[in-house]
Amino acid sequence: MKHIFAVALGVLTAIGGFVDIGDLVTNALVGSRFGLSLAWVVVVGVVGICVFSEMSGRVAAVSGRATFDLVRERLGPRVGLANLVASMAVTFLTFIAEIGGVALALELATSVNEVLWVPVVAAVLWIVLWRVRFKVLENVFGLLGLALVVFAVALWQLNPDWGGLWQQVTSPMPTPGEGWAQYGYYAVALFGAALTPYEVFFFSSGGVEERWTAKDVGTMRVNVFLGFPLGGLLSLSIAAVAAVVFLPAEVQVEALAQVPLPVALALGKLGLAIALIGFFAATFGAACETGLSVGYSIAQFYGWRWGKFVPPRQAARFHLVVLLSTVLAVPVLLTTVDPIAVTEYSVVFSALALPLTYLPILVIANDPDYMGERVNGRLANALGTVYLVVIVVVSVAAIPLMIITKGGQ
Amino acid sequence: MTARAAVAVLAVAALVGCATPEGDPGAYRDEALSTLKAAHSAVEWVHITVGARLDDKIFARSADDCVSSAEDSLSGAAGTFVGLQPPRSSDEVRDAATKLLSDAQDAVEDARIAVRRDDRAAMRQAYTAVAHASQALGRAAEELP
Amino acid sequence: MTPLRASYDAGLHLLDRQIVDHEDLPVANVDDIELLERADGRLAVSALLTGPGALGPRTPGRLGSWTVAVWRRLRPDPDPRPGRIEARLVTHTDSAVHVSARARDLSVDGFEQWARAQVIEKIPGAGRAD
Repeated sequence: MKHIFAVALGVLTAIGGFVDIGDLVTNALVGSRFGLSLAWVVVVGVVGICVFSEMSGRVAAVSGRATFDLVRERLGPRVGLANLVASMAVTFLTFIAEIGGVALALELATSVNEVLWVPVVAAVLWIVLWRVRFKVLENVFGLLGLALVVFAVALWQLNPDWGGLWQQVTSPMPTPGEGWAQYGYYAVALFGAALTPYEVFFFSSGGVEERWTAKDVGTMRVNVFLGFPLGGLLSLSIAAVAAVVFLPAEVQVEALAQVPLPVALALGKLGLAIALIGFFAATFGAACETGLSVGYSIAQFYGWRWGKFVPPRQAARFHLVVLLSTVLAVPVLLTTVDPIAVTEYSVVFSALALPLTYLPILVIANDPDYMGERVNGRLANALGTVYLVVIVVVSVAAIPLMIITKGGQ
Repeated sequence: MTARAAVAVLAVAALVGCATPEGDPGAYRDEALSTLKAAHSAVEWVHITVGARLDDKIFARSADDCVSSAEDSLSGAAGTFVGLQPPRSSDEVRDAATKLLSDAQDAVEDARIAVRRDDRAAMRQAYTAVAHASQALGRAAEELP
Repeated sequence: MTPLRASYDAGLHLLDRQIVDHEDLPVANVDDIELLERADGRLAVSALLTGPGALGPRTPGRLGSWTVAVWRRLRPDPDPRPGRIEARLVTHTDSAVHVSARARDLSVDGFEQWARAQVIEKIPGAGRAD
């Protein structure tokens, strides 16, 4: 039993990265408009995040330093600050969106308006971040988030034309009625979702929270190679059921309420209830992940003491940042802004933050000062370099595509 | 206007990406088609939802949420289109499109009322009406003048 | 492990590194370095500087001068010095700079103390770790 929970960190990180509120809708949208023709992007993204989180996890285990520690050290204060600002924008905007996402999930379950839930969710979330042990947080939300596996079960139950689906997977081109610009935009969005910087911040900081040492590199790797592919699978399941139910009906997914419908069609009310639980757990887990990551990044950049493994009074600035972020999120959401629209704005900052985040990781993972004998092997370096090039290309393409397609239309 | 200013204006216009459909029949027809496509999506969503409710596969509350959201989305799209000033030669397009949209809105409204009342007989009627509206919208691309 | 006595690249091995205390817990970051010129003309590190007073001057442009201005405002003394850790307290450097003192004896964390006193201590449960 203990071994199942040993991978909870990887699973929770992956959930926050692959099925947060923005991705829940984006994956269904992609399935409803493009079928599975963008599935290859998710696979490429999963490999990429595995490569870099293994590196950052290894750094955390061997040196005890989490990722943002390294960013400033390798990039210097000026570029490091640019990265901090860009990463903070992404992480903080996503944090706001996730709180809104939890409220949306609760609205789906209870019909109480989202805006009314926002202050409640923010308060409960902050109390959880203040009092609940990191390990418990991991285990509870990591496990509950796996309720989203119901999408894969629903896919099986719908008994789709597997040949047709495979045909979509192997035809990486826009479906009729969509253009290459739209295809490219969503390819960039899915890739960016798989490699969001806060995943490595959270994973490496979580490793330090768990007091990983060099002996734990094996456990760390299990976390990575189990957690992220699982996240990718959940992503693909959501897209696949949407492809089966919505694509032929020409329904374009735009709201969270549409996302669990295929599960209801396949598995009835029980399936729907499980999906809603999954939404709640995934968005709440993502809110924890992004909320803590805001604190981790700022504290690590400035060298403050941080983490839940020390009493709060010893990490006062860290907890102050987390508290302030939670408090500031509420008025933003009370303007009734759509949380999913908020995640779309964060794409812009992601474009800047991605290369600046992953380059230092690649550099440090090769530094014997930090890593001793555990420096990168040739495979890690080869993959890391290739992905860094891909990341730069994606970063450059992101904003033009966003403008040309007006956000994916 | 200097050449630079002209280029700047053109660039801004290209970025904003809109030529008002008022003057251009082709653009107006494109607007109509894209509105009808969005309407088709909303109506088909209602179709699936009502069907699921009739099969007792979703909760009454979820069905209500879905149908209400679809109705809002539909009236938003329809309202935007109806507010556009049509070019002189496009009155036929306008008439055809607004008829399709108003039929769709009626059907969806009936569905919403039936779902909220949890009235199965009314839901069955609405299901058929919505299916018809959806099919008509689906054919719009070929049949629009 | 690089002993501080050898000649080496302070920019690479010291600047912007995490400083940790004897319990391996973070203290601050090396925001700047204080150098002194020895009799033989070589430079040696005399202290590590930390805090907005040290980082501000290294941050370019408006942001840097603004940081320094705000920091000076918030300090009671007319000519404030940045947080300072004597070089002799440094034991070794690996992925971080290790110092032999306890964090609270170094008194480089005014903001932390303020945050602790004004906000964190007032919330129940501030003394319990995970």
